[in-house]
Amino acid sequence: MVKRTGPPTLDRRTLLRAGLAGGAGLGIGALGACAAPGSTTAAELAFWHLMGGGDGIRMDEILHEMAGELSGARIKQTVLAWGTPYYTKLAMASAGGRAPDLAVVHLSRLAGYAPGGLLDEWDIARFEPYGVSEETFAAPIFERMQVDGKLFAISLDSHAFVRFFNPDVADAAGLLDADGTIPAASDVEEFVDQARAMADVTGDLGICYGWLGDSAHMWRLFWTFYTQQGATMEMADGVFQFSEDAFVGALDTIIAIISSDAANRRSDGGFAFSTFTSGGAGEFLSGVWDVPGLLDSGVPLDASPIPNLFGTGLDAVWGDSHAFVLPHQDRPDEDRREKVYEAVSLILKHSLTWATAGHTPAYTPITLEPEFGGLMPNTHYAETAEYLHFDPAVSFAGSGSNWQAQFGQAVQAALLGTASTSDALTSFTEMTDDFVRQAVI
Amino acid sequence: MSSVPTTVTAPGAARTRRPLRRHPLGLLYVAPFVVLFAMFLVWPTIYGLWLSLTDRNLAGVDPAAFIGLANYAEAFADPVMWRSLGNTVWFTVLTTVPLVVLPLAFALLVNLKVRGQWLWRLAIFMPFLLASTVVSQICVWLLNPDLGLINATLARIGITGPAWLQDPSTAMYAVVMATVWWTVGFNFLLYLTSVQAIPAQIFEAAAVDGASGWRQLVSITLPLLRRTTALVVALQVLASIKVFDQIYQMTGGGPENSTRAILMYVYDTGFSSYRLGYASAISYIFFAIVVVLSLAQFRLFARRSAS
Repeated sequence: MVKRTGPPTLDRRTLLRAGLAGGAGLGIGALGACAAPGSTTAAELAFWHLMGGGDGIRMDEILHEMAGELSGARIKQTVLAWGTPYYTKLAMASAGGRAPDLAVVHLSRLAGYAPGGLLDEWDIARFEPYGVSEETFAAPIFERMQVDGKLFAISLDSHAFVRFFNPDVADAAGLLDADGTIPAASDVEEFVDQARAMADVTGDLGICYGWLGDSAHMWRLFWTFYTQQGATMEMADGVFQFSEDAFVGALDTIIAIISSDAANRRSDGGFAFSTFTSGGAGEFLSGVWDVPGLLDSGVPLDASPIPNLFGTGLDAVWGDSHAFVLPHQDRPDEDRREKVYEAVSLILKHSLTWATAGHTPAYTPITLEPEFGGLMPNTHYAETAEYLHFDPAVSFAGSGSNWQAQFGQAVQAALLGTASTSDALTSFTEMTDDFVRQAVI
Repeated sequence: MSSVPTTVTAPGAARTRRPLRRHPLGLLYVAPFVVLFAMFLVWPTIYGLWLSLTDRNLAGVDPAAFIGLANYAEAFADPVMWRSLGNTVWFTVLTTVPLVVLPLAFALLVNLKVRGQWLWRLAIFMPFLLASTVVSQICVWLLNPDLGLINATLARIGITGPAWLQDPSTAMYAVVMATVWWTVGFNFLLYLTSVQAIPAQIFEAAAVDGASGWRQLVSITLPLLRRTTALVVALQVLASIKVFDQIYQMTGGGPENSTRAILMYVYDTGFSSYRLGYASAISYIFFAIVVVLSLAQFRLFARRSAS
């Protein structure tokens, strides 16, 4: 009889058996991971979103804050990279009918999702016990939460493209009013003159804008100026209609700003952000989501909406909104769905935390709270929620869309000064025709 | 009693059939691979072919309908697809030539008996170890028109550098430069091992016969590296024609589609515009091109080897 005293030796058969057992375990685990998020335990709500950086940290904070208030359920969040990867995964999960219980999309993408059956409808009446109703949203946002009169989204915020400025620089340039604001320029010449005055103070740039290689930023400022002219883009009878004059007008305006001696014509996002935060520029055109980073940098900071430079009297800026949607589930569990309604209501009520990321809460009771009024510089651009303009309501447009990326490709040469605005117009028309041709909804 | 068997079995048949009967457990060993191969290659390939014959759209209201070869007809008439294909071929040409010549030159230089060989090997091979995302980010910063090291260096000698990645006339070359820097190490390693495998006696004998260094290179080294060159060219063409990562991250296919590769167009069509049927059709056209190219290469090099 052989008596083993040491640890068992690993022979070939043992290894094989262990390998097979492990493989089976892994296989079962992998299949489990493939299971629909909606099929997890009743108490766990699957929540997909695209909040990274400061946004992600704050969403995490909110979910922790409200965890005790949401009885009988907890939220399991899955964070995915924003843009095409996120929207594709969400579409595929919805198309399979086994989507997460709750997800976030940009409102500007709603037209590409809702009519195709990828989203389930919200019932606004089911929110009433939780203190949420149509009246608790700004009118343009509530309107955009619907497609063909059906409610497909519940907006969390609005976020706009704004003008950040350094109040110390603006003051030294003699631009500040008694209330600390910069008077709204009435045309592009006056706007550039203000930037020049600030450039004299910084000894470098007056204004910076990180557009180079960034299609989204190109679009945001373009759309601000395009809509300030009262122009629209829409699909009518299968034809994409837009104003060529307003297109050229908006592009020429951007070119006039970035090619002035107060700006840098070849500025990308990193350059613009670092120039402004290091005091090298008095103004910085960007989205409100930059607020946390700007505050962290310690640069003196204030903000205002981008003024109308076309004399039309229209308040208009590019904007969008993070919104909650119900990705399509073939067999939704009504109890779980009720918890989703409650969870969304709670997140809305905790959106003061969300506001510290720079966004303006869509749930208006929050914006009326004194704490929100104390948030700087948020309160100086909060008014944009009333008149922001979403991207065209067509299936191929919206934040992170390929159409937006292609727009950047069409106009970049004009912005760089190596092509004319009419060339950009031609490129834009051709590339949009391709999208219209391929659009199915 | 005769020892001659009454029935004769072909040797090959005996070899192929009997072991399976004798050792059915062998199937168990290959089963995981067969299952994975079927699940992740065979089935998607067949399903993709089916998709390419339908108008499947992820966001579409209607269910997918069989539309025959309509997607293929549309693809052949699609100027963006041809542009993307042209970009891919151009990228392949621009990268394959330096990625064959440079690693050969580096391998020959490193093989010279100079000091610090480990440092040269490391310097040339190291970038290959980096992930494409890291390489892309490094290059985006290096090529930044105002903050980048490259334009700053050019400015020191009085040259205003272009907006490398934002100018359609330079973007492709910028991506090619990044790709060459990133991947030259792999081919370099192939060449270096081959160069070091050439017996030193051959060079010694040639030197005794009075062959100069150049003559040794032309008449000994390069001919003996022919098989390695064939391998490097074949691998490089296949790698370059499948380019996606660095372009996606450095330029997104822009500006003005000047760097958009065919796989990017498949990605955009399928995953951004959600036209899975059309994207599948383009994939199959590309698949056919790669197969033809591979067969042509195989025949070409097989003929050379035979000769």
